[in-house]
Amino acid sequence: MLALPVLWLGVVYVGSLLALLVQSFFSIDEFTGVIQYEFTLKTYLELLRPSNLDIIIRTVTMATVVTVAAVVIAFPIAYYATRYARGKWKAFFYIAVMMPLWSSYLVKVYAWKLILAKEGIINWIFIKMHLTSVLEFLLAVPVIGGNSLSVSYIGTCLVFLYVWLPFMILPIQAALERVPSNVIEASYDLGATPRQTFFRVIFPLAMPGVIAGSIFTFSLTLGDYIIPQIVGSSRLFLGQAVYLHQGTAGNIPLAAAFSVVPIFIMGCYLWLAKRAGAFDAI
Amino acid sequence: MESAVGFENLSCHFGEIRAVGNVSFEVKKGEFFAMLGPSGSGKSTCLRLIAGFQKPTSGRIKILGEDVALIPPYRRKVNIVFQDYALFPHMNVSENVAYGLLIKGVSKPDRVKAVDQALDMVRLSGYGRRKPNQLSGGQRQRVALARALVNKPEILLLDEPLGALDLKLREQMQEELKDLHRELGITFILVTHDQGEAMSMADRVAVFSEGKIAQLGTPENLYKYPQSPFIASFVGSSNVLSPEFVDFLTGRKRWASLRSEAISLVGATDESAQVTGTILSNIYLGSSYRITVDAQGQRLRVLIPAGCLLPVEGETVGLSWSGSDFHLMEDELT
Repeated sequence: MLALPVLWLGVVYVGSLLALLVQSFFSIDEFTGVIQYEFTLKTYLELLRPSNLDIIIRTVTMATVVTVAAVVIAFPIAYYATRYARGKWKAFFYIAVMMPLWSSYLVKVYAWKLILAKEGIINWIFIKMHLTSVLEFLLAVPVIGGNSLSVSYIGTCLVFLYVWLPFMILPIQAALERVPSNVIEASYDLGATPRQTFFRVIFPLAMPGVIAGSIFTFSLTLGDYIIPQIVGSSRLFLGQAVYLHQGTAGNIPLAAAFSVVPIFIMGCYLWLAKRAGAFDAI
Repeated sequence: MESAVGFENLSCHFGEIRAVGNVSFEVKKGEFFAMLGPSGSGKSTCLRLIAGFQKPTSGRIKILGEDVALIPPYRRKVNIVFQDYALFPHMNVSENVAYGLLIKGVSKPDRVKAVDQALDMVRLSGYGRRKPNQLSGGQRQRVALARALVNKPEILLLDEPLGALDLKLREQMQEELKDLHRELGITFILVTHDQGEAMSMADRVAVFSEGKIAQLGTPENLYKYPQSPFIASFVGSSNVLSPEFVDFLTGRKRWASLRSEAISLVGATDESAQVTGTILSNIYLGSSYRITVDAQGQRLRVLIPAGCLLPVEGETVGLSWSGSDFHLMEDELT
């Protein structure tokens, strides 16, 4: 009975991933564009070219910022839902968190493009509040600024944050739910104020949830190729690079090597998290 | 004697449900005090009220003479051992025990020394680096005890601390707790539903029933002079005699209690027999036999030492006891 699902995992999931990995060790003949099926590290060397390295650094930085911001926003929401919401409010919370996932992702991203545009509502709000100078100051910041929010990295980051937030809230909430209330009471009993209890007991025990959520937001940002294409500057992200190399350019080995990058980064991330003791509570 | 904890007309409601209703009592300093009762009788709520996890609906609580209404749990001079220990799963044994000291800002060398001492006291030296999930139930229990005691509380609260342990370990821990109490000389307040535990460990026992104290006294006092049929049946193995039966014996229509071991069997026609009855069963208990007798529709349990002449089922016997063991109760409660 179990064999079939396990086979699915083994063959379809891991198998295809291995096939991808193998592709990255082939190379492409630069004249003919034909793939040469010989083991080589040439493609990986190509990955380290400044232009490609730029893409990697840009994407990883974006993923890091999005993940940190998501933790900062998601934690209080999840904490509120766990500690204070009861009955109907809890049901409302789940629906409110999940609802954005039910509508089309493309529609939401295009909606955000309009919201962030120069003629959009955010700009309008800043004008009405006489805070245009603040927005202009933000957009004047080199690298992350731009002509308007919708063509800046700030905009890209906001949209990533919006789209991935549920993937951060839900695991954190699940982890917080599992923190026994008597452990919190024990901390109070031993003299810890609510603040000390939060930082010494509740947050460490919710860490596996934070890690799980950050795996989602981090890897989803690393792989996405639609959001940076619609909202942001025209500079490439990892997902877009993979898309271009295997589509238009037909450079499957380089595309494969590019897609190994997130796997490698996530591996390092998990290893570091484990070493830092993030999974000790499990 | 000074008071450690005092309850004055205390009530605690959860919405419509009354958990504790107008309870007043005092725990003396240095005393081993037990709150005994079936589940839902309000005893655990009383403990949580002392710790400060629950707020009273009305009435006052005093800890060491001070009204604690406005004092949050983390400023109260009590420490609690939870029913399921509530150890911090992400910390090892030493870190768990050191937690209270760390919060207080005790320096590291002093902390290490105090933790070593505390672990020594509960005979867990060398276990400092283990995680709670690598310990057995009894060991976790000891860690919880050390974690509370390392703070040198004036009052130690124990919430069914032995409930999750098996019988043998429980008996061993009972003795250890009793020894600790003697050694430290601080106030212990124990919550339990196990009457044997309360009676064997505590100096005084408050028996809770439906949010009120049904009776408060020394174990001996409770055992010998139960004030209601509830106490008599909950505490120990007394026979609860129905008002009809007592009426038949004494002419007074009241509840009464009579301890099983205070009754002796005599011949049916013997002069000393207060009443005659028919043997329903006899059960071997090792050191004694428990015999059930039906006398005038009242079932009586009689304990006789093994080795005595055993009556057979259906035989008619006389029952005799001394007047001082026959205890008439106050007004009926249940």
